[in-house]
Amino acid sequence: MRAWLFWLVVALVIGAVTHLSYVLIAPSFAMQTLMIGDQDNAPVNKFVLLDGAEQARLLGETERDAVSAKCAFDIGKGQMSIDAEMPDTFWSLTLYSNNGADLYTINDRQAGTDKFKLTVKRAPDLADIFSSDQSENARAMSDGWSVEVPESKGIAVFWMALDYPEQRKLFIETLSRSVCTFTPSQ
Amino acid sequence: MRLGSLIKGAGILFLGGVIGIVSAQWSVEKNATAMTAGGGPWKSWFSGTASIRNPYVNAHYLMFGRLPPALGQELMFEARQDDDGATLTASCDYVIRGPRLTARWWQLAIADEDSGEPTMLSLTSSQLIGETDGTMRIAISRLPKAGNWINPGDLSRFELVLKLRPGSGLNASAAVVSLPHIRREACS
Repeated sequence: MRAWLFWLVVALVIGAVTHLSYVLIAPSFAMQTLMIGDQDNAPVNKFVLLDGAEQARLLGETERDAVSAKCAFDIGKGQMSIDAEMPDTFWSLTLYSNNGADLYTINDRQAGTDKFKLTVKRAPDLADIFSSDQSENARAMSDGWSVEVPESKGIAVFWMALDYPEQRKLFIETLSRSVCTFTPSQ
Repeated sequence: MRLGSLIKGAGILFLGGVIGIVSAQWSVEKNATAMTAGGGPWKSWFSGTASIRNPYVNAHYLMFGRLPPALGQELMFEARQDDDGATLTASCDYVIRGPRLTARWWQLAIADEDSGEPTMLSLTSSQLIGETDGTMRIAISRLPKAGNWINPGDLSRFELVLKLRPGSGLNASAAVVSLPHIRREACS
């Protein structure tokens, strides 16, 4: 009877570990796959325009629905600047952490411009917070906006709607002028 | 004796794994809420008014290969059944009908229910042909239909995924969005 109870407790503990792994760890791996796909040397801190297959995989949208691009980022040892040039249409830019949380998002109406610079840097740690005034985590700078994020790895997703498929070429031409640049910390 | 212990250990490990996965999937499923203002089969895992920090909600999107909706930019609704509660299957014809969606951009897509993966079958707001009375009507059928038509092709069971992008940067609560009805017509 005692042995039976012991093994039941063992099964429940294994069940709890599996449950937590499914909910907390497995989604991070799924996000990694979404971010970089099956590529071994996926570009990091670089602007990448998504082709139809990649767009369908990441956003579930076809080439005739939307145009999209990404910058997978790793700002553990520096910061990344996004110099975005968006077409004059309905667009959004969203930063996701590597566990799928949305860190920052903006669209054309909120931005009020189709050409802007967004600097993405790590949020200060606890010691920095207590030693200085960090009242906002997104702020305007003289040459664009700056956003401080709690995670060092993630992905910036550029998205824009197509009213008709023929716009695709024009939108790609404009969006391709966007750049993601990594600047190492001093 | 050793073989017996080994079998027992493997059995316990297997039982624990099954308990963990089944309870996790149940918890993820439980986090969905029936969301249409007028009832119906649409569900959402995202309230629309708070950033996704609930790990069960996050797991729902990521484990099915989807990026979670961004706060203020997108609402996402899913339906696996028609208005009468029957599973959506490609061997039946369906009509999606309701008032025209007010979002600045929306997409109605078909996802493979078996694999959970998105397909290339979709219709967006810019492709929609509106009805003269201001409503919208979309047919899902393997046979060609007049007006807005999505062909589910070789799929067996499928799921409808409706993405709404309000465009204002502020989502309404998912609970107050009026969504279209899903009516089953003929089955082959």
